[in-house]
Amino acid sequence: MKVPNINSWEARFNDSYKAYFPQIYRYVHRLTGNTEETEQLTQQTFASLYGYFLSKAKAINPKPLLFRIATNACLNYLSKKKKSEEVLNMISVADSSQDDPLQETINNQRKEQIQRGLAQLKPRDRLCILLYLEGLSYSEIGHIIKANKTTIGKILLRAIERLALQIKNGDTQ
Amino acid sequence: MRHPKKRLILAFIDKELRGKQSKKAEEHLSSCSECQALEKIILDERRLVKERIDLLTAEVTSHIPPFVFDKIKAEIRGETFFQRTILASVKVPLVLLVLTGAAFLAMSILLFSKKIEPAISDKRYEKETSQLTLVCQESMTSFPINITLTGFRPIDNPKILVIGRDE
Repeated sequence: MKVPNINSWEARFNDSYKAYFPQIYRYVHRLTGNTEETEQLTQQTFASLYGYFLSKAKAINPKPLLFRIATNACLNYLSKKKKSEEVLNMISVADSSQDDPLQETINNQRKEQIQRGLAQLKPRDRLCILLYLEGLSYSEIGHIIKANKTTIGKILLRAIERLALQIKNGDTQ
Repeated sequence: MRHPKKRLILAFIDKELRGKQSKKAEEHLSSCSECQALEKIILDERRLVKERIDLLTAEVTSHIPPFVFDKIKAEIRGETFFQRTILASVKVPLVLLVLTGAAFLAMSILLFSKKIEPAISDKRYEKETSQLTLVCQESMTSFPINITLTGFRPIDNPKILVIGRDE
C-alpha cells in the first residue's frame, strides 16, 4: 500500500487543525452541550481527518469533511446515549466570566433564550443553522444533512426567522 | 415587477446564487426598494441570531490543546503505520512464519533430545546364555557347556552381540 509523503500532508493537516479546531470545538459543544465530551469528540474528529489525510491526502477539502465527521460523531454519541433529544435540547450555556454582573445576567438570559429557541427547532433545522453559522456553504451543509441546496435555503430562512422572532419577543418582555 | 422569493434573497446574501440567477437578483435588488428593505431585515435577523448563538460557546473555544492532540496523533501514526503498512501486507505470512518456526523448534527439540541420549543405553545391554558343545574327536563324545555372555547389541545390527565392552 502506498502511503503519501508524510511531510507534505502533515503540514496541511497541522494547518487545518489550527484553522478549524475552534470552529469544530464550538460546533460540537453546541450539539452535545458537554465540555468533556466536546473535547473527546473534537479530538476524535481530527483523528479521523488524520486518517483521511494519511490515505488520500490530495483529494481532501478539510472543512466540510471535518464538519461531516463531527456531525456524525455527535449524532452517534447522542444516539448511543439514548438521549439525543434531551441533550440536543440542553444546548450548553458556557461558563461566563464577565466582570460586570449586570451584563452577565443579561448574557445568561440571552443564552437561555437562544437555547430554548434552538431546542424548539427540528433536529435537522438545528444542525443546518449551526453548520451555516460556522460558515459552511449550502452544498456543504446539504452534503452533511443529505438535502439539496434549495431545501437548505428554505430550512435556513425558516430557522433564522423563527429564532429572530423569539429573540425579539424575549427582548421586549 | 416580480419580486424574488425570500429564500433567494438570503441565498443572494450568502453568495449562493450563480450565473443568471445571481445577476437577476442583483439587478432587482438594486432597483427595488421593497426588496432592499427585505434584504436588510434578513441581514439583521441573521446577525442577531449569529450573535446570540455565539454567546453560547464564545468562552470555551479560546484555547487549542495541542499537547492532547499530539499524543493522539502519535497513537494514530503508530496504529496506522503498524496496521496499514506492516500488518496489512505481512500479517498472514507473519503468522505462517511464526507457526512454522514453532513447529520447527518443537521438532528440533524432540530430535535433539533423542540425539543427546547416550548411544549405548542400559536397555541395550543384554545378557545372553549360549550353549556350546565341545566334541572330542577321538571318542566322538560331546560335552555341552553353558556359557553366559554379557554385551550389547547395536541398534543397526541386532544380530551381533558385542562382548567385552565395558561402558
